[in-house]
Amino acid sequence: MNAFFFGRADRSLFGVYHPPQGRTDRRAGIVLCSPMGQEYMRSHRAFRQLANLLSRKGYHVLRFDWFGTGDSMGSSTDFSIKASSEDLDAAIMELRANADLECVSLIGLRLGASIAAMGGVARPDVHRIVLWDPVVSGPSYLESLIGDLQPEPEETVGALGFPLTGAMRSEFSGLDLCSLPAAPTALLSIFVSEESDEYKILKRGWQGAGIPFEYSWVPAAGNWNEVDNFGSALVPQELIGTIVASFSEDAHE
Amino acid sequence: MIREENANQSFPRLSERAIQYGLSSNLNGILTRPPSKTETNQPCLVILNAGILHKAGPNRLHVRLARAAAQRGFPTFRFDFAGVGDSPPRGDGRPLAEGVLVDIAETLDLLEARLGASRFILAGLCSGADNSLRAARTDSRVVGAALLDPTVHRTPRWYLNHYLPRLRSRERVSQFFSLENANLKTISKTLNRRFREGPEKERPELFRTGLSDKQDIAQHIEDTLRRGCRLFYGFTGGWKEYYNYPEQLLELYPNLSRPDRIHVRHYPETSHTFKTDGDRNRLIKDLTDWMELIQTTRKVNVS
Repeated sequence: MNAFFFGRADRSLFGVYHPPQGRTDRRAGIVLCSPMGQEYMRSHRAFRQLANLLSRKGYHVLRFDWFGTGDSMGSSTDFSIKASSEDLDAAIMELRANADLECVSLIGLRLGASIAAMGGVARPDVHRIVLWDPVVSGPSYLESLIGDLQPEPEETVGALGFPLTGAMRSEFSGLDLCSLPAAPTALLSIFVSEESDEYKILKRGWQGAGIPFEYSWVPAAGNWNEVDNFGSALVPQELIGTIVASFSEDAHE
Repeated sequence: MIREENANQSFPRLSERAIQYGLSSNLNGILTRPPSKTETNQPCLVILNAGILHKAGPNRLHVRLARAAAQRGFPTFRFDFAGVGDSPPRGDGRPLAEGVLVDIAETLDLLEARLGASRFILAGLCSGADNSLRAARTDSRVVGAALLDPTVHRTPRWYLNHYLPRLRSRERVSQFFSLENANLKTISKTLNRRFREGPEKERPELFRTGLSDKQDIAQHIEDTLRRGCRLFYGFTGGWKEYYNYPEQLLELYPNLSRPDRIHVRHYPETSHTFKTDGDRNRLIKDLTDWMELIQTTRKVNVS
């Protein structure tokens, strides 16, 4: 694998490229979109494993950190869903240029899935989007981060170890994955570890809107947002294996 | 819920570069360089992994520390040990404890070659603290080590601080002497173990890479101080099960030859992973102030 910075000089992003391993080069690429905050910390190891497994299947894989998260430039307070669509664009173009690809697929976890879906659903260079335990409702997500706290609009509060600004809260409040910004051209696949009410709502919402999608429930224990003193990682092996298998069986790839 | 203070802090003039290196393993790290006009011949700060958390650190602590230190003129490198974060597992079959020391040595070799740096400060939290001390003991290039919540042993005063407040309450006293009291059982077990095995056999409860034995740690500290290295100790409230008053370290090790080379800070209100911006900012200020003190002291000594 190859770690590097890419993107605009004033919005430099940290990425790790995993080239295809072995004899197979599928001429297909996958961009992995991380969650944010504590969920990012908990899932880093799972993402590395996912990237390794996909690269062994012959895929070009790029995982990266949004601006203001992980090892990318920017302060934690700089993160923004709206600006992240620019990061997504930079990551897609980076992988396409590096591996000489016409189009790519996206795999996003939690908020990363929501950003991938919003930003990639109608892109002609995105073939498929995998939404792994996506954040469906912004207000519910916000409640999971700060409970029933009602901070002043300009106030920055701590959310499980990470700062949450008023601008972030405002953006999160408006997030609703049931309403995609455009008619999808990419294939949509949802993988969930727990079949909660919000995923039932998402299914009903997309079915009602005539949006085609695949849905898989692969039970896995653990909470992405759990905080402990020792930074334990969550690596749901069976779910990761199911996602990887779904790619290798994909006729397009 | 915690209100954040001074959260919006950015470092627009810094440059960061991802570097892959290593002879025995493929390591990945990020070099943060000071703004060119402030770059001096400062020691280079090297930040080690805390457990299995990758190089961004818990709650991005390492990113913040790297950028703040660079802003004050210290080139800073944060990297992942083999098998952690963005570095693949090592293939040379070395045991973990030995591999970590090899990774640190190869990192310092890289920075020596690339930056011309000859002096280094290591910093780490939890297992990263223990690994910093292990490396600082033998590598003469290390002039300082910042140890955050390292392995530490309890003293008699720790037990007093821990149990006395519980005894002050009548209700708690009656609970204390109840037959089902877990504290009594713990004390009884501890006393039995102490009389049976002697205090030198006491072990911290948590497994961490590297250090566990009290005398072994004392020897590491003594050897490190004797060769002129300085130590910054930071203990948080998240570590109160092991450390609960500022003087505990020096009471634990009363016979060190150069205690003046140790700087201890106690953060009783802070969590082990420095969860708030306020916690992180306090630590970063204390740590970078101490780093400047090392630099100043060294200049005085040289002149």
